[in-house]
Parts: sequence; C-alpha cells; structure tokens
Amino acid sequence: MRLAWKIKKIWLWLFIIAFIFFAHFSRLSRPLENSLTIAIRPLGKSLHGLSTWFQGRPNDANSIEEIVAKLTVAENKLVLAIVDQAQLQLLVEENNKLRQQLNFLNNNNHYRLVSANIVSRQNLFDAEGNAQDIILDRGSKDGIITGLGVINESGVIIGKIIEVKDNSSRACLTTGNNCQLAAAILNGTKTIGLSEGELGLTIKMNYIPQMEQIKEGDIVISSGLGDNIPRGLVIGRVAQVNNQSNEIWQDVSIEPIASLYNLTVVAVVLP
Amino acid sequence: MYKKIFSFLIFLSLAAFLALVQFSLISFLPWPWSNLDIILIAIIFSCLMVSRDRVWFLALAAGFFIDVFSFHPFGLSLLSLFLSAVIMYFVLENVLTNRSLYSFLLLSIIGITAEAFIFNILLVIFDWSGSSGRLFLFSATFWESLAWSLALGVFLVALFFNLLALASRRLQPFFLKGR
Repeated sequence: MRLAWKIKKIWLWLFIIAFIFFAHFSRLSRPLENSLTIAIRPLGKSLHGLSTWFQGRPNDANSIEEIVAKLTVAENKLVLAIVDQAQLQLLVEENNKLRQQLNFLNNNNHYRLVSANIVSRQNLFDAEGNAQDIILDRGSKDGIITGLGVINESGVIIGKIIEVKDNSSRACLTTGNNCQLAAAILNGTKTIGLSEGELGLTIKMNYIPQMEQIKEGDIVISSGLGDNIPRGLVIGRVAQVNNQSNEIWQDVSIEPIASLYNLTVVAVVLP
Repeated sequence: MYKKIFSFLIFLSLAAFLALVQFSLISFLPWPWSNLDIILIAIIFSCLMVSRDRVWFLALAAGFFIDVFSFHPFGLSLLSLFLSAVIMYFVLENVLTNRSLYSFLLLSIIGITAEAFIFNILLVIFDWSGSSGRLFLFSATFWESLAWSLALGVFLVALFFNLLALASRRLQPFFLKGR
C-alpha cells in the first residue's frame, strides 16, 4: 500500500515536470514567463547595481605612486584628446559645408537607441573559455534583433546582441571569445578585418596582410560591413602589433577603451 | 489544506527570490564568489527542516525561474536542481542516517557535485549551438569552478548549520555533551 502510494507520488512529480516542459515548448506558459521577466526588471537592476560595488578592475593600482603616475598619464592624454577634438570639430564643419555645396544627403550620425539595464551576467560556457555575456532587460518587443551593437554611455561599442527573447536579450562583450565584430583600423589604408575577443580580457584582429601599416595607438572602429552595426563606433585602440617578417599575416591586440567591469546601463543601436 | 497551500506559496516566493539573487547578484560577483550557488544551499537546509515534497518543490520552482530568466536551453536548471534534490534526499534517508554536521557537509559535497555534473551533461546532450565542442570533463575551468563551488558551499553550510544548531533542537550537535 505504502509502496503503491510512493509510486503514485513519483508519477505525479514526473507528470508535473512533463507539463512544465509541454507548457513552455507549446508557448502556453509564454504570458507567465513574459510577466515574470518584466516583473524582475526593477529588482534585477538594483541587485546587479549592488553587485558592481564588489567589482574591481584587474589593473587597479596598488600604491599612491602608481596612482599619481596613472593620473599624470591620463592628464597628458586628456590634453591631446582636447587638441584632437578641436581639429575634428574643424573637419566636421568643413565636411558639412562641402556636403551642402555638393548637395549630398546629410548622413548624420544620430543613431536610434534603446536604453537597457543589465540584469545579469552569464558565464555559462566557461568550458569554452571565459565567455561572459550580459543579459539586458529589453527584447524583441522593444525592436531588438540579433546582430545589433551595444554601446555604453560614451558611445563606445561594448558588445553585440546574440540572442533575443520577448522581454530580454543576451549580448556578448567585445572581449568574449564568442564575440566577433566587423572592424576597421583608422590607419592610412583603413585596414578592415574581423575582431574577436580573447580570454575575456582583450580583443584580437588576425589575418591582416603584412603590407598593411599599423602602429600602436591606432583607433579601431566598427566597419559597418557586417550585421546591423553602423560604421564608426569605437571599439578600442591598437595596443600591440605582432608582425614577424617570415609570416604571411600579422595580427594586432586591441585594448578596449570602455571599461567592461562596472556596466549597469547600456544602449542598443537600432538599425 | 489552506495551510498546505500557504506553505507552498511561501516556498514559491522563496524560490523566486533565490533565483533572482542568484541570477542578478551572485552571477556578477568577482571570481571566485560567482561560483556560489545559494539555491543548492537553500535546498540542503530545506532537507533539514521540511518534508521531501517541499524540498523537491523548492528545487523545481527555483530551477523553473532560473530557466525563464536565463538564456540557456529551457529545462537545464530545472532538471539539474530537481535531480540533485532527489539524489540528496535519497542519500540523506538511506545512506546518512543521522543529521550531524558531518552528514550535511557530505550531503553538500554530493549535492553540489551532482548538480554540476548533471547540468553539464544535459548541456552536452542539448548541444547548445555547437558550443559544447570540448567535453567539460577535460576543461580546467570546470574543475576549478567546481572546486570553488564546493569550498564556498561547504563553508556556508557549516556556518549556517552551527548557527541553526544554536537556535534549534532539531539538529544533532557536532560535539555530544557529556561524553
């Protein structure tokens, strides 16, 4: 009698599990799942924001001298950036005037954006090597599709949408092994290629012909040739050029400009 | 009957809260703290306090919520947590006949290891977009994460067990007084 009751209970549990699977795959539970995803947004955003308090950058300075040295370097770079900005401004004005004169359509760089909060990080496939994806609280109902670029508050691209649900989406970070972006290097010859993340720390661009002249500090941007990512979004800066004279190809290591450790709010660039 | 329904609702809320904390807070903590699995620890302590049905319900509900929030194949967390809860309950009732600290530490080790293996085996079965190219058994990252999960889980179980032993008489203490 007791054994029969135990067997009935086991069948009951199996039935419940089977029903959950059936409800999910037949989309019967879709309204419930969407409601849950929407319901967790405010709390998920708060909890994720709380977890950023515990995050530290891997290259944090350990002494006052190091901090002072970093600050001095940053100040010098700021001055150079201001100079570059001024020259850029002049170029933009000149470009606009020329376009007007030639009666071109004004190809403005105002992107359509959807802001999204990061609610989780998913490093599920660690066996594949440090894939760190972020989960956003916006999905297909907000116009998001796979392949769109994700930028931070400074307009620097930090990842790409790789999977979309109704009310949430998953994006790979530029430093993740599973994240490839069509990129271009702002050197004399506008070298184009494919950048991909490496070990969750840096970005690499491989198979660049030896004849291409690339130097450290060259800016790397999205080339606009792949997916739905527009041209001109900054990816990073060339940190190291690896070219051996006896090799057919050279490769570059790219240092991301944006910090990928304390992200809480990002924007998805719509096509 | 209403009491039973109410208790299941409490467990449902607990499962939702644990899933949300695991999903949004713990997943983003610096390594190795991101290897902590508070849902499993809650299941282990539920084995102490409540009936088998409630423990399995907690595992099922928490797994369902994690599957809804996450982007891995649906059913991965649900099945791995539920099967781990079944294994833990079986071990507790048939192998470990007392409720001492050692029993629960061993139960934690069995539960955390079972969950990690079941999760990754199911992932290989589902062959998630072909990304499971390398078997997880040959991945150093998997073993390192498992080691940290075990270390953190065992530490927390020991800590909470001793706190509960002070507060409740339902547990056999580590040291038997009078011997």
